[in-house]
Amino acid sequence: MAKQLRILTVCGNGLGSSFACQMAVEGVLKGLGVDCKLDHDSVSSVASAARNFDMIVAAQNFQTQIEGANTGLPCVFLKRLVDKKEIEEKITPVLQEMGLL
Amino acid sequence: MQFSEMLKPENVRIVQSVDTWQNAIRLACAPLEEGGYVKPCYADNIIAATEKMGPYYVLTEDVALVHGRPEDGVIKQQFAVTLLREPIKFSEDSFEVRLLVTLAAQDANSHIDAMRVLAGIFCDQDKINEIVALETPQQVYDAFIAAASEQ
Repeated sequence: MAKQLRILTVCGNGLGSSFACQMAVEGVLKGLGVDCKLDHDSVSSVASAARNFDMIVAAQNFQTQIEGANTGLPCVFLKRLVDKKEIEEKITPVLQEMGLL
Repeated sequence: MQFSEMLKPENVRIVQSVDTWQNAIRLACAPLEEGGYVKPCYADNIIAATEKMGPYYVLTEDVALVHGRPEDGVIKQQFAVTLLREPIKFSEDSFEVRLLVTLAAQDANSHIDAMRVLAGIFCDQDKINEIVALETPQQVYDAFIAAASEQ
């Protein structure tokens, strides 16, 4: 069995927008047939939380802050946190690069 | 907690328009404040966080999941729904919003079942269009409860 992909969704507070985003991403990955485990957290926790994950998904407005945290993880930045079409378009190339698709 | 316990009919409101995004936040928090679910400082803390981080709660066209942190003044977990007839923008470069769902969360995870219901609505543009066109608060309430029963 392929390794389970661990994804962290990120927003300002780590309990609302990132939670909704987590569910949208779960739906997309299920559709793509990728085994994954997701969690959500606040942008201020990214640097410490990142070591437990393989990928970060966040809103575009947090791009500078997340890149500044130098997590070394592939990041997907979204204009619409719950848009499954945008999520699929942006996450597919990253999954291909990771050899998961 | 059942979705119907998380969203009370009296916490669903329809408002014609609002003059500023700050007042939109106050309006969206008002039902929770009146019901004793959040302290009056909750709206002010969300406004302050928005000034710092931008409107982190605007999820897509027409949809804001207005929320602060538990320590920003949450007393009990609960949702409120405010529908604006005229959309408001929370920043120059963010989407226009008509559907404001306000969340008072006690921690990062215990509202998971309710979030599944909301995520189901937020991910469905047709459903959002349908809800923003509804005429009465009762119809809006019923649409959320119906979405919960479809889960």
